This record gives sequence, structure tokens and C-alpha cells, in this order.
Amino acid sequence: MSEIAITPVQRTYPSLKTRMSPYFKPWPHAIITVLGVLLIGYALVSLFGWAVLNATFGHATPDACRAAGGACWAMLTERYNIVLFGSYPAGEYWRPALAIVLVLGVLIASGFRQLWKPALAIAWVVVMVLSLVLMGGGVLGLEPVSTSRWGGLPLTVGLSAFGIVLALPLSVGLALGRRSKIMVVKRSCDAYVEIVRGLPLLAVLFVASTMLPLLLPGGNMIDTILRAQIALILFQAAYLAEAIRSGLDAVPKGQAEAAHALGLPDRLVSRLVVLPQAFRIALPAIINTFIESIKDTTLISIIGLIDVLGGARGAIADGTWMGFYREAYLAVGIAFFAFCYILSLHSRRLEQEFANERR
Amino acid sequence: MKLTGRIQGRALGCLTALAMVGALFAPLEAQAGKVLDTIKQKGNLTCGVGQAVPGFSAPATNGELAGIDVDFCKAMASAILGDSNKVTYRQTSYSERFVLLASGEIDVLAHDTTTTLNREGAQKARFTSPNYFDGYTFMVPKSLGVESPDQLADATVCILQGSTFEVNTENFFKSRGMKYTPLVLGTWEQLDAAFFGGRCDAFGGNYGNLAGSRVAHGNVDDYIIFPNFLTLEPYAPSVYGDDQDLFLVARWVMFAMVEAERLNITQANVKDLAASSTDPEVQQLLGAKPGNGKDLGLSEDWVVNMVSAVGNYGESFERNLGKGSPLKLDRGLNDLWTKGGLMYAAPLR
Repeated sequence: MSEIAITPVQRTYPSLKTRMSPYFKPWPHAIITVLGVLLIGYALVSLFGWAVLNATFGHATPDACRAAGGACWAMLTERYNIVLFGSYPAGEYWRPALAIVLVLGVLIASGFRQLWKPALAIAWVVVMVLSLVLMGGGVLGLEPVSTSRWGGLPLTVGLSAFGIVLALPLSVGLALGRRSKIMVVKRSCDAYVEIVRGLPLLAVLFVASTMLPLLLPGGNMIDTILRAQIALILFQAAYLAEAIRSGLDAVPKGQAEAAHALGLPDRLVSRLVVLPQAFRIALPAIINTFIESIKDTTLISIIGLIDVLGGARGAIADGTWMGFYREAYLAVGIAFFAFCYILSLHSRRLEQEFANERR
Repeated sequence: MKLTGRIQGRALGCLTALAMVGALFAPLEAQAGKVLDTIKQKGNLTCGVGQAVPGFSAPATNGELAGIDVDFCKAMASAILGDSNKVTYRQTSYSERFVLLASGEIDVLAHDTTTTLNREGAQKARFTSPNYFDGYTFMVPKSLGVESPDQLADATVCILQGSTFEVNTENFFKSRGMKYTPLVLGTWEQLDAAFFGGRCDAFGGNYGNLAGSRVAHGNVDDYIIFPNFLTLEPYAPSVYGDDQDLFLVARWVMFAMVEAERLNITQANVKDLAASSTDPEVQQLLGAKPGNGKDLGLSEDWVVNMVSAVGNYGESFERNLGKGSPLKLDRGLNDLWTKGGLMYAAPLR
């Protein structure tokens, strides 16, 4: 038996010259590269000049800001409370702040598979109740705050987080319903998903806000925020249902058949075999829907609710700080990006974990 | 971007129409006095105000809303309930304001809203006398050397897309046989940047908005806003439909604020004057000589409560829009009739 020499493949790193060559050869590439670098460089230098060199930090007057010519971060120092909390009573900011921390905490915890236990569902319910109590007050010696004064970041975070969490079970039902053998169930789930997906969220919100009170007896009693929340849940559920259905369809039929052959009842086949696999497959699509729903919450301004974007508009509308919309919108943009990026990091890590497991 | 804006606008228009049709089928609950009675009963007034409209309704540093529209809500609450804090503010968007008024979700609408025939006739809003007169005009850089809008031939004009401003501008230039180049943009911020960046010679808009932009830009003296308006936009608060009693209160609250200014009754001296004034007009307005309150179904000290809470019309104007505010608007048309303005009160007797 002859010996086969197994030598490890030498991994060679290409030299700098080789790596740079696609950027400069043939010669038109060089022009594009040089122009591109110059353009990006120019943009970065101007941005740096605006955001740092000529900017006004800390406390300052609007006139000082205008004289400096750059970004007026002082505007955010003076008015951050309006951006974050809208017209929530000034002395009580710790309450919405704590509510946001609670919701974000349980949201981030939900991204870790080790914590996917029934306790997590209980934690969500507890956080929902706690954050509502914190915001609304009226018990435990907390001063009552009418929902008409809720606004800013708590609304954005609350509506999107609770929206997705409550839409999830509904969407699983819808997705399973669309695969049901009972015609009535299947057709009504089909109809629901198709109709809701065919409507713009703006219209759904507008109808929920303005038509509901006209059509329902006592409709005026339903709070606007609750109306928006219901509209968001019903809307997201249709999209999530499709994400989950795509996952369900991707699970090989053999899996369910094998489970049946082992004598598992239908209910358990879904719960133990099909759904967990479907979730793994659909995870990127689910997170995608979540990210979209966070950004969709900005549409609630059309029904008179002040989200964090509305808060930013309010912050620059008191006359004194008019005109500093770049800073306000940039701050809101960064906040949205941070939320969405955290979610997408979570999603990427989970996908990696699932992929490793499958090997 | 522009296209979606227009489509969204249309979709909203359709929905508003739909909601209006819905309102026709809803049981007509509004009977004389019902809304006013409900307000008194629950001890709270729901007021629809603007979202972030400088000088009209915007959050102050402590998060409380402030503005001339907010002041009207406070005046209403103190006249009816004796306490300016008994107001629930609903910050409404422009597209939903009349639907909310029709559905009874808001009792009073004070939302930088122009009185128009359609809004009174078809949408059944009942407007009080105006709390602010605005008008369409142009702002130009002083360096352009133009002294009246008639010299704006061949100018490039910055205009907000999808607004009546487009029509106003078109009518103005057409009627004078002048050519112009419109630069139509979707948001006020874009227009602002375009005008102060020198992309257009003139900036068309309502006086109040233009003055706000000019202050925000800083160099107030470098720009002229023509004081001769092309249109008149009388902004007025409104209530809905058949509730005569609530309408009367709203109408006379506005008149009383203006009359208090004419009689030099201020937040500071109203209590003293109520107790000691010998002027028969002051006595009647402040309820020392009773009657007005009874006619409106209010307590006789309604004007005292009102002026103690928000001051007279002039004080409210100066605090929110005028010299005491960052906007620094002149009184102009909003001055009293005795000083050449349009603000007047029918006799409160």
C-alpha cells in the first residue's frame, strides 16, 4: 500500500499589488477609482466640517449656532426631551424611559435561543402590563397621564414591539390555516391575507382611526393608540403569515410523513417537527417584516399620534429652534438605524447558529 | 417621491370623502346643546390642535403645548369649566381634522384652519371669528432690488407642491401677463433650503410661514416679505354642526378676548378691574353687571377666568406669534380695528 502524502494546502495571501490591480487596470478603472475616492473624500471632509469642526455642542443659543454655521447639536441638548417623549409631562420622564428599557430588554432577550421557554411569553405579558402601568399611571401612587400626552420613542418602540409579538401567534394561525384541509378555514385565511396585503398601511390606519368611531357603537371610547396598535397587529400578521407559510412550504414533506409514521398526532407533528424547522427557515423574513414594521410606525402621525419622528418635528416647531431640521432628522435617523441594525445582527447570529447545528 | 405623495394625497382625499359619507349614515346625535352639556358633565374639553405648527401649537420646553390655537382651547375651557387645565389636546393631522370634528372625537377644532364655504357648507364646521389673519405673499432677498410683487416678471418662484399656493401663484402671474418659472418642491424644508441657497428669486407662501422661515434662517434684515397679500386666509377655530350652544360660546369667547384687549383688560389687572372698575363696558364684560354669562349658559365670571388664564387677544398674540415670541410677527391685519387691523368684537351686551 503506497503512502499518500497529505499536505495541507498552503493558503497564500495575494500581494498588495495583486489586490489593488482590479482598481487600476485597465486604465479606465483607474479614473473611476481616483474620481470615486476624491468624491467620497470630499463628502467626508464636508460632513466632518459640518458635524464636528463648525458644530455647536452643549448649551448654546440658536444665534450662536447660526453664527458657527455647522451642525447645532445644542438644539438636541435643549430639546432632546421633546424628541424622545413628545408632550409627556416633564417631571415624569423616568417612567417612559424605564418602559422603553423594559421593552427593549425583553426584546433583546427574545433573540437568544437559550431563553426560548414558556417563561419568555410570561415575561412579555409582564413587561406589557408594567410598561402600560408606568406610562399611564393612576396606580401605585403614580400620577395618571392621559394617553393623549403619550408620544415620542415609547410609542415607536411600544407599537412596533408589541405589534410584532402579538401579530406572531395570529400569523402562525393564519399560515397553518392556509394549509388547512378544511375549505372554509383555508379560504377565509387566504382572503384575509390577500385583502390586508392589498391595502396600504396608511389607509388601514386612517380607517381604524376615523371610520371605527362612526361605525361601532361606543367607538369613541376606544383609545387612538389602541386603534393604531390593533391596525398594526392585523396588518403585520398578514405579512408575517406569508413569511411563515414560505417556511412551512420549505420543510420537506417527508418530515411530516415520518412523524406521522412514528404515530405522532397532527397537533404534535406541527408543533414538534414542522413549525420549529419552518421558523428557522423563515427567520430572516420574519426579522425583515419586523424591521419594516418599526419604520412603518412613523405613519401613525397621520392619525394624530406623535412618534419619535413627530417628536423631532415638535422639537423644532417651538419657534426658537426652527430651521434646525437637519440635526433633528439625523438624530431620528440614527435612532431608527440603531434599532434596525441591532435586530439584523440578532438575526444574522441566529441564522449562523442554526446553520452550524444543521451540519 | 413626488408621485407617491400625490397618490397618497388622493387616497386620503377618497378616504376623507368615504368617512364623510359614513358620517351621514351615523345617527345624527348633535342636538342643540348636547356637546356643551357633555363637556360640562365630564368636566373636560377635547380640543383638536396642530402637530408642531410654530406659534399655533407646538410643545414648549417642558413638553406642554403652547401657541395661539392652544390658548383658544384654554380660553374655552376656562370659560366653560372655570379651569384652563381641563383640556385634552388631540394633535391632529391636516387630513383627519374635519373627520374627527364630525365624529365627535374632538369638541373644538383650533388648528390653523382657513374658513371656507365648503368647510362650513359641506363639512358642517361652524367657524368663529378668526383668531389669526394670514395671506399669500412672496419673500425676496433685499439684494434683488424688487419692491412689489408686480416687478417679479421672469422670476423663479419656489412653491410648495400640491397646495393652493400653486394655484395662487399661477393666477397672480397670469392675471398680470407676466412669465415666471415655478420651482415646485414637496416639503417646506426643501423649499427653505432652495430659497436660501439661491435657487429661486422669490419664495411663495403664507406670511406667517415665510416669516418663520426668515427667522429660522437668521439674517432677518436681508429679506423682504411683501405686506400686500394676494389672498386672505382667515384662520378660525370651529365646532361641529347643530350644537348652537357650543357654537355661541366659541364665537363669544373669541369676541371677548378681542374686546378685553380694546378695554385694556389684561391678565395682570383683570381681577382688580372685576372688583373695582366703574367703566360700564368693563363691568358688563367682566360680569360685575350680570347677564352675559346667563345668556351663554356660563357663570358670570367667565371672562375673568378666561383672561386670567391666557390674557386678552393681544397678549396671546404677542406671546405666541409677536414680539414676545421667536417668530416676531407684526400685528398687521391682526391688530385691533381701532388701530387699523381687522380684529373686532361684536358688542358684548
